[in-house]
Amino acid sequence: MKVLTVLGILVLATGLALAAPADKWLHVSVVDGKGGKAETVRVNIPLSFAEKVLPAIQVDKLHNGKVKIEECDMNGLNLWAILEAVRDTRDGEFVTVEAKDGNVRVAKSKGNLLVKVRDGKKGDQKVDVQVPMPVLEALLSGEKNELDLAAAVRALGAHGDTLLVSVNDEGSTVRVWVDSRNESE
Amino acid sequence: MTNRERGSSILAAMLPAAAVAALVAGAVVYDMGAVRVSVDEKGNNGESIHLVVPAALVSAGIHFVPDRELRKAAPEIGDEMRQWAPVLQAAARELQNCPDGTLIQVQGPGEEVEISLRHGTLIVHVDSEDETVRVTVPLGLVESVAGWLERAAPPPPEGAPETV
Repeated sequence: MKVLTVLGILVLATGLALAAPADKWLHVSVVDGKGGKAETVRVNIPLSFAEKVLPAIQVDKLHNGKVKIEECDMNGLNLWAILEAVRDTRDGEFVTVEAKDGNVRVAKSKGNLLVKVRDGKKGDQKVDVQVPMPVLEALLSGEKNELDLAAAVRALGAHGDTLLVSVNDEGSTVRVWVDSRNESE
Repeated sequence: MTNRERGSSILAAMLPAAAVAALVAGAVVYDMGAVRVSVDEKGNNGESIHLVVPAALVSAGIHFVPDRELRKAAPEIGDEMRQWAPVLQAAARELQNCPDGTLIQVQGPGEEVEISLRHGTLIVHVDSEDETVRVTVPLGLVESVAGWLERAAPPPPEGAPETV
């Protein structure tokens, strides 16, 4: 009987834990400069907060949590078509640019869209962007020429901890990530 | 029963009612919290200002300001009010459901700014070389003020695109 009770409690606790996932937080950290003169900015926002507030913003091209992109052709590149193609394509490397003072790599790997930029003579300027595919799909879930930011934030909340953006420059670093902690680092 | 005795008995009957009303009012004021502003200048001759205003008083007070007076005082913010008041209201409402934590932290040489959430209160703390400023505002009050701003906002001009 005791075993049954313990099992029942365990099942109930597991169900509750699954039903109420910990709220995810979006963190932005910018460190500019080094030593005593460094300036740091840290922003921590609960994703649930962003999800609820975004639809309330009705400004310019952002309405009800969706951004209208009227001009999809940017210097001959159709952003919408590229994003759709990336979504529908298997894992692989799409763009590789190797120049004297920098490299650019765009790939899809293990369910993530990856963008890597290495700039500077020694490759000391690094930009890494990682977007989980469910987030990209949610972003494209609206009408044509529309990015659904609110849906993307929702998808981000359902996804695990993720480092979205990392920029390392000579004197500054920028990081954007999502996790379950309510404080950065 | 003389008039004096009748007056005394009415007063005695009203006292508990007044006490209950005072208790309820006190509970409401306590529940809504207070807006606290403190400014402490640094240095030997630095002055300090500390201000505590019950949020209930602010919330009640704003309803006595006629909408047209607000529009007259700041006609140019009409569009901004219409656009951002609902956002501010949604933000304040949602922040009340968020766990405590630091929302924004800026640190630089000689200056530190922190905006945090503690027990349903928004706390802004600025520490510079000259002074320390600390403002705490209950989120319920922010929501109430934002709602009032939204109601007080002038209607959009004719022919303007629908924003909601």
